Amino acid sequence: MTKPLTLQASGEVVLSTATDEPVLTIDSNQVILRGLKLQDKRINQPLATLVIQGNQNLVEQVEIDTMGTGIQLRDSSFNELRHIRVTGHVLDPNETAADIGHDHSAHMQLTQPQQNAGVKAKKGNGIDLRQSHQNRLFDNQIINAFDGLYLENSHENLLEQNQVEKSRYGIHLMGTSKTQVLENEGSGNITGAMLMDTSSATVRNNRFLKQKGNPNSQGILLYSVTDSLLEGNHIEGNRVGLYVENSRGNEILNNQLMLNFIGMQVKDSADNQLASNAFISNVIQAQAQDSHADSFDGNYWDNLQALDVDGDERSDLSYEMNPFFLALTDAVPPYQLFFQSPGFVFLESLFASGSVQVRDTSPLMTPLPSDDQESSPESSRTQTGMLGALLLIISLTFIYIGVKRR
Amino acid sequence: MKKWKMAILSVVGAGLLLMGCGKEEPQAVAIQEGVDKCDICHMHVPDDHNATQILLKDGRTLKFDDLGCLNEWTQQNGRENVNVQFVRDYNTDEWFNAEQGAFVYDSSFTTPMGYGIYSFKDTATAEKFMQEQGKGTMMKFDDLAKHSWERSMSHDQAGHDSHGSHDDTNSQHKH
Repeated sequence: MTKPLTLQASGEVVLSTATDEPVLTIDSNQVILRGLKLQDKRINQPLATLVIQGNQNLVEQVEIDTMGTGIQLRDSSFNELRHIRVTGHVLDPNETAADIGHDHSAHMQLTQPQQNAGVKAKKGNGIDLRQSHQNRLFDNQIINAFDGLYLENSHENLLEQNQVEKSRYGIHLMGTSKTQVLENEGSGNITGAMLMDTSSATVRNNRFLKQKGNPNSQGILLYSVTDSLLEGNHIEGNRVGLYVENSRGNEILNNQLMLNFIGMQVKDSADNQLASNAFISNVIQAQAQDSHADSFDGNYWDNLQALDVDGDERSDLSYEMNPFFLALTDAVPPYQLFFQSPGFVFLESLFASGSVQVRDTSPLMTPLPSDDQESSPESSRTQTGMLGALLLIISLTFIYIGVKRR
Repeated sequence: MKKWKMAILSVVGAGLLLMGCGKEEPQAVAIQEGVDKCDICHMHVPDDHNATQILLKDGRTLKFDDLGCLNEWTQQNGRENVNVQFVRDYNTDEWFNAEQGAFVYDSSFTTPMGYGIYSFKDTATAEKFMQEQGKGTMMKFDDLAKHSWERSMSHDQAGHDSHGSHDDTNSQHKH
């Protein structure tokens, strides 16, 4: 498409390709693309199923089935992509189409020729932005891609309410600034969000769940990230919940880190502020190496033996984390067997003085209510009440009617 | 007593079996996609031509997703403990000793960390690739030490520098 047209499907319209070219290329501004299905069985091609090279385009309600990358934006700004579904059809050797929850007919159509060729197809990204700024990605769904949303050298983009499933990284930022990552959900990925060489990003109210399938899964990883805000994110069941390296000047507030092997790990970082985060049931709650001037004050640690004398909801005993266990198991992994064994605890206390790098001088007594916790118990309580009342009324009616009939 | 004999015999036997190992040419270890992480940048290492690895003298293997991360590791840790550095051929994915390879750099080449260097098993294929692309700078292993290691996606170089100077990391991106 090289002109500012509107392309809208009425009924089911499927576009597919027989050549080595992308199914659709938008090489114009102000194009509207709506309601189409794109199918792409090319493998290991550099260009995606849908390529956008223009500004102020709108793509919505498009379904893409691909053997490579779903959508590429190149030097394109002010575009809006919403309600799009990208399904990657490249399977890992031990997977079947049912594992991914694929639409079976589409899947057979796409994979049949590839199986005959005997070439191993590589997964592509769901939506891939390079040198593209101020775009809005809203309510898109990515399944079984390499990286769900990949942004490189792109600035001031808004990623909101997207869902990424069964991919390598849910959201991957490389060299971006002022990116906003809001209310996205990742499930079954290896890493929820990977932020690298990024400044002034906002990562708020995202949920990264069900990442237990991989031994090296990570919730959010910051590498060389500056002046960014991470707030209200829910990170559950990873090897490392939140990893911070080479980063400074970030605010990490009110996040929930649950059921991870290591709740949070900080390395070579400085001047980061962590407050009001809840560390719950992590094997190792937090750990820091070679970092200084980070503030860990005012978080909730569920394994703290807390004591609040003056009733200000903050413990007067401070919380200290010791890097001893992690340092040792890093060098010799089998030592993990000795987790919490008496000898180990004794050794740990021997090495406790001086080596403490994570110290919370005013830990919280109770976790701050987060959004999802706040609403659910309250509403479920009223629901239970209503259900009880309903059952009572029904049983009373039955008793009444039964008695009357006799 | 019989039990003791059995135990001693089995230990000796196992020892004899193990003696057969070792003293082989060091081999590169296959990349396990989705499991192996880069020892520098912590990204998962894709099983492709950009993957590199270091075999340490103590037998440990370090894997990297980009030649630049391998360079970063040797910058930080030196080469005293390094046995072999392996890279892969751009065309065939075959592992080989980095010291024998040829390297082609261009800032537009895409690699996971944006260092933009591809490795080739011999100079001929590297030259052919450069002709096909119409761009690139050829380097031998010794030239890599003088290379700038500039990255296409890093807007603040200091962020990747682990030697302390973080002074300009706070500067905003200029666009």
